[in-house]
Amino acid sequence: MAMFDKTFPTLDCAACILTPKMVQVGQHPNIKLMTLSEVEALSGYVGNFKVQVRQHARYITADCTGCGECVEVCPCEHPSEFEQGMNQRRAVYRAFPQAVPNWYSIEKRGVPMCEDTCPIHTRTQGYVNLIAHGDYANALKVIRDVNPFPATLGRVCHHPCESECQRGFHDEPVAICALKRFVADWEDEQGLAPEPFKTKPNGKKVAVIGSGPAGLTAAYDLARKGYGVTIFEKYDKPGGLMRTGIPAFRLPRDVLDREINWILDHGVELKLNSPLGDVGVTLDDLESKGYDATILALGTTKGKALGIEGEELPGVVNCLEYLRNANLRDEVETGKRVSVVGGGNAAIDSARTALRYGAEEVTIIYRRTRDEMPAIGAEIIAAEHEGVKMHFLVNPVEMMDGVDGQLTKVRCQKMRLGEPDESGRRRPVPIEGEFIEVETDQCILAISQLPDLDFLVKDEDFDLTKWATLKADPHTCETGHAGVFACGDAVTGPSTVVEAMASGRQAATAVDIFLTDGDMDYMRREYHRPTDLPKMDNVRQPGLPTVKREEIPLNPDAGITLKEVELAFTEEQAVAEAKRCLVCAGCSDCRVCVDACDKGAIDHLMQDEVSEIDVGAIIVATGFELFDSREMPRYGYGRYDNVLSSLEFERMCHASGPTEGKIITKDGRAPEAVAILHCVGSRDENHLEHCSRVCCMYSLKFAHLVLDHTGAEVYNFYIDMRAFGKGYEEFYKRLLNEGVHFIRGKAAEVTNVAELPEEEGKLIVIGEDTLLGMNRRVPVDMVILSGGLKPRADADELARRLHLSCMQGDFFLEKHPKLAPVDTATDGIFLAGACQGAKDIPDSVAQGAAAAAGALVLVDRGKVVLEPITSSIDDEVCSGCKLCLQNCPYDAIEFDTEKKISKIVEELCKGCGTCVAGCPSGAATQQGFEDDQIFAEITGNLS
Amino acid sequence: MNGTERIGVYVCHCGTNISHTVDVEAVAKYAAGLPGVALAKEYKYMCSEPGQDMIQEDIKEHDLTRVVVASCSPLMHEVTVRVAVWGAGMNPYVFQMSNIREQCSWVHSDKRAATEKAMRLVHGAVMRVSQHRELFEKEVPVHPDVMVVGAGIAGIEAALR
Amino acid sequence: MATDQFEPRIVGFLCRWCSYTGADLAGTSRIQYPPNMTPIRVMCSGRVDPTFVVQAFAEGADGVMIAGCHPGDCHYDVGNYRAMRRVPMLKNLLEQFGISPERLMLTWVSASEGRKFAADVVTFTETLRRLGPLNFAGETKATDELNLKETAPAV
Repeated sequence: MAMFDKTFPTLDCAACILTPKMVQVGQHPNIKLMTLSEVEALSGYVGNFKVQVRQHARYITADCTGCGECVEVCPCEHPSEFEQGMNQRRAVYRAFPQAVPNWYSIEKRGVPMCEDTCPIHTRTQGYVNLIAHGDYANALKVIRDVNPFPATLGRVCHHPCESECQRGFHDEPVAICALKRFVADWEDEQGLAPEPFKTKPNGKKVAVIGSGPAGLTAAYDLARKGYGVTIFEKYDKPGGLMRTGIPAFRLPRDVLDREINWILDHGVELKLNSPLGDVGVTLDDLESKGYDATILALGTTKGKALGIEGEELPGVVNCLEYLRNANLRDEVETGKRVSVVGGGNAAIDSARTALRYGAEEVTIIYRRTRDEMPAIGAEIIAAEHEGVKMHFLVNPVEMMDGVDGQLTKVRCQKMRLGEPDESGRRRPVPIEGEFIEVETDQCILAISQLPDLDFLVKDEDFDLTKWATLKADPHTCETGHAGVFACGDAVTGPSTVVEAMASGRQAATAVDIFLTDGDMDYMRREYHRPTDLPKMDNVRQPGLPTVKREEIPLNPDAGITLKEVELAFTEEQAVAEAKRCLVCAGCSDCRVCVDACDKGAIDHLMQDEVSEIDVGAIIVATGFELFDSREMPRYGYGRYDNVLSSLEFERMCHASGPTEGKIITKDGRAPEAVAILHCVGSRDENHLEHCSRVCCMYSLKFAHLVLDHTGAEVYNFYIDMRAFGKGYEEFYKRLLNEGVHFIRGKAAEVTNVAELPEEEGKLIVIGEDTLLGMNRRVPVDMVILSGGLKPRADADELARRLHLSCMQGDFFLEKHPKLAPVDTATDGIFLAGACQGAKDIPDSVAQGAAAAAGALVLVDRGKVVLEPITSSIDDEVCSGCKLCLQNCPYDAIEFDTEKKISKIVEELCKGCGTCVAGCPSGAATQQGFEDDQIFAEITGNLS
Repeated sequence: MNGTERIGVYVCHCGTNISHTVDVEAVAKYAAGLPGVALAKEYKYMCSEPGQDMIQEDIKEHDLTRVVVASCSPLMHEVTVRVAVWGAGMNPYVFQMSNIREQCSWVHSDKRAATEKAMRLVHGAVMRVSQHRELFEKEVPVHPDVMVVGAGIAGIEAALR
Repeated sequence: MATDQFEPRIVGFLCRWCSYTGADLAGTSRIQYPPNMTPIRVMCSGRVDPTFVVQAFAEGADGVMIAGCHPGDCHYDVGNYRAMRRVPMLKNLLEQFGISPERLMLTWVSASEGRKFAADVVTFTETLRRLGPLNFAGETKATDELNLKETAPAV
């Protein structure tokens, strides 16, 4: 009712008469108002119901004063339900200004798939939407909460988030990864250096072995928690495979250095040239130096061999060694005709690096097809662009040498794709007898990598898995050596930067728990437990316009050099791209509102609360839903701009509505003619059979408002005029005198196809005037559809929860249509308003009062008489088979373990008799429905 | 049946709602011949005050131990008659209602078939009621709180009252 | 019955919450259906003891109808599921007694489905007219070994 403008027939303001009532409810000492709550289940009986109520988390506590500061900063916009989608609202909102209670709430629909898929669960929509609103500093804050490498990951991440982006199912996924790079580069360009997070040292020391993404992330997390962290790195530069594996033309060294230094700014100590083992630092050393725990983040440093003939030839090298020499020393021996075996990022990086160190021709040899290549798609394209050739469906079987013992050819078996393997990719199978030879003088093997753990497994505390990786607990990261944890590629096998970071984070969390309360079981229980929110994995928005994804600009000066190839988005590009995000989660979880709230009333981690409430009576007043006129496409709703639903028109008339009370067309014109169509969806066999009882009257009200506000010609298309209420017929007469054109006949169609000159640019309502017996075409500027009232979509679910019956669609069924209109078949449950059937405001109010009276009679009497139809079990006859315990829907039967018989708990028994029907020994009886009584009735009925 | 029961059977015309399709006189006559039936009557409106007075007087005068009323649905008037027999000192649960209106006279048009069905239903009720025992209702307290689900105008109105 | 047409005798067990109310609604709406079924009111379709059904057949019923709330709508949460589980078992048993399982009907009628209730009675009556009177000598092959007349009193 709060959505209405005026009410018929008195034309008083809906808000003016409703607001005081709402305020009264909010302030009444005896009314506990539970908004955003829903009934989940009902048990008990008249006078003694127990109702389970779920209070949905509003993410804002009762400290909210309704000041609205949070709304100012919220970057997420959605169509306002209250304004019928004609206005936007933010993700933190209140339904309307007079809402009671006057609190805001945050709409969280679920966990977006981008965030769910991200190995480190970056709050992706948070930073993307802050970028859309130009708040780059806060966007970086969101990223850095979980990720110390925005500039690095913004360049090299394999971004699984984009594969799951729901926008991608509509046109193309949002360029999430490039947006991250944009903000990171923006900060650098602005000359802003990020402040390290404030930490409070806790006096404990942790050693991290290895400075790859896993080790650095673990160090970052632990440092932020106050641990004194020392990283021991084997090489003379930190970064692990981010430095030794990823070439500078993808990840410039200054970018990587900057981000590593920022981690070190958190008080992390870095010791270079310090390998683990006898030549460097040993676990015993660490213990004696007072480290409370150690994290092994050793990475993979050994290339995997193919195991074929000729592999030992000079000219056959491993990609790790090849890339390491190029990336650390800027010096690497490179052939003229280079071949690279493999299809992952290391293979692509090797091929592109070879081009930069003197190769004239580079060929990739891959045993599956391009579609199965694990490398990032954009990198494959870049490699091709630079001239790298690719041989698909071939597998090396022999490295062949020439006269001087140098590699000259790789002999390869031809393959075809067979059935998918466990990774889901189709398995390559050899084609017997078919081979090709690739001429080459250097072959780089980039098949897979292994950790180098030989020195470690000499210690009996450490074991290898069957994949030759380091054995560690998958939940707690613990190794066999107390206080030593392991993570990263050495444990998981080769992975990507972000996956290694996730592994490092897990180890850091485990260490923190190990060094505080020691509840390692927590990791098993909670660490990977999904949140209670649903996944937003089937988001479709019909009618969403297609917007092309922004293309990542390339550096025109890069050529094939060590200069970076890709550039960051321009600011315009970034904002445009970020605006493509659907914010399918409702709230993007950027949390800028938390800082904006003086009262500290925002809690993004709030959970739903389920409580059980004891009541004597229940009044169900859940209202109706408006018929969705899209179901009748012939009226053009949703297709033509100026075809409005009744509620849209109500909002348009309202002074605080989207047009501030002006009745105007979408392009801002005052309409010269308006058609109002009665009975849209109702009194229609194909939709709602019933008469919605209010449409005639509110259509008349609309006609009056249009006349009053605009002076336009008004045409009402009606089937019958139903003006049955007090003052209604008088209102109809008044409208007749005001000059409204009444056309008796249901409108057939609304079209914009003009047949006559005066119809040009208009909407034409076509229908038969049954009084004149002729067809009419009425050109108008605006059409208002008076939609019918239908039961709420969730009415049948609520009916099930409350054991109510439904009829006429899903309107709730009253006990008697005339004599008990607000009672239900269940004593103590009453109905009020439009949930029982379409009705107007006076009738709804009358039912509300009647239901209240019904409930009060019960409460006032204080006692209620129950029909004595409960079941009982004869002790002497019961065989103790316990079948009745399973049959009882209410757990109202107990088993007496001493006497070995079942016993009915009378207070819980509701008298359904199911136990009696299922009792094999005939010990159970139901009062008033005894077997003998029913038998007698059967006999009598059949006489 | 122990043979000592004295059952009173009352067949209602419900104006013409029942008597239009069911030969109520024949049903009453048929009932009178059933074992245990002490008296069988038909009357225009069993739910009316004279109708209920009649039952109460018969209970006292004829020492009835059981009552069958063949009329409308028990969901309609079972409680009305229970109160009436209780007023005459009889346990309200040794009474049985037979639905010969909603589930007989209103849904059939063949008078003969409808009358036969009504007879069978009354026969069933008579046999059933002879097996009835006295039952005693239980009173339980009512929780003084009321829950209103929904906060539109109807819900608000209900809550404020 | 006056006509030559076979008029089956049907005992119907109607749950008090949905089906009995639905049958009452058929009455208040004056929806006509054949008078062959005599209704018996139970609190829940879950109260229908298999022996009720067997007794009805033994005493001359040609068909038995059990009507309850739709699955998920039971006033007692799950009572109708119990009925749903018992009926197939019972149909098996009837078949062994030589009674066609078609003579037992389980149906769901909500309180608002007066029309459906009437339609179900029409259908079931027609089914039984087609099957003819219940023949104790056996309607299925399995009846040679079992005879209802001997078995029924023991139930």
